[in-house]
Amino acid sequence: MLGEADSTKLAWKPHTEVEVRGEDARHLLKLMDGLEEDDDVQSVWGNENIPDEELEKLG
Amino acid sequence: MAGHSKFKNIMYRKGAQDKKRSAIFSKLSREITVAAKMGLPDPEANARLRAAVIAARAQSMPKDNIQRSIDKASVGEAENYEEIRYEGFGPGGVALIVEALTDNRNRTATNVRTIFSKNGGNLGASGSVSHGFERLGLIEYPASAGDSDKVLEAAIEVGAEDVESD
Repeated sequence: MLGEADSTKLAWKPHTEVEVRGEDARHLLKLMDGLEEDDDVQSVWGNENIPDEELEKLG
Repeated sequence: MAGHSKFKNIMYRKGAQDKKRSAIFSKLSREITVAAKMGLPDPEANARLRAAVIAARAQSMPKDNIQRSIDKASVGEAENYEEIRYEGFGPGGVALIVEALTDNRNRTATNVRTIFSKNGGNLGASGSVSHGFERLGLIEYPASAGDSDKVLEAAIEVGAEDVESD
């Protein structure tokens, strides 16, 4: 129907999200990046919602 | 369909991660080897392996590398890997689930705990966070796969619970 998928995986989808902005958002992304950099870590899932304008500010 | 994707954050972070190709290949091949070991080393007969191979192909992993990772399973290289899930909280009170494949529980636990505490988070007990999530199959297509109507139609046809786009 749609050709080959980019990925198929088991995901953890949060029931509700937590909005994060500013310094919290910055530190959260640093934490998640740090975790993903670890050789043994395969996936990181979170219930964060970082609004687009915050993402843009973080560049 | 949602206008904003909940997975946009993941896209944003993955942008920076793409630069570390070797790290990605290492994770992809580990998943392939472990998946191949868990069932038949044949993507047609092993859903987890099929998913792992799809993911590897999407990252342009060469066919040879993929096959080598599958072959590693039969020579016993996947024997020692186990799946571990860590749960904790990060800045902003965000709940986090970390999935790892490791041949050394202690090393991984120590590293994960350190990363959490160094970055304003804390590791919690198993189950402390995951009750706030549901386990779902996630299938990602590139935008070129079709327009929103086509994708929505395909999703409905296969009984998808939700569709999101970036």
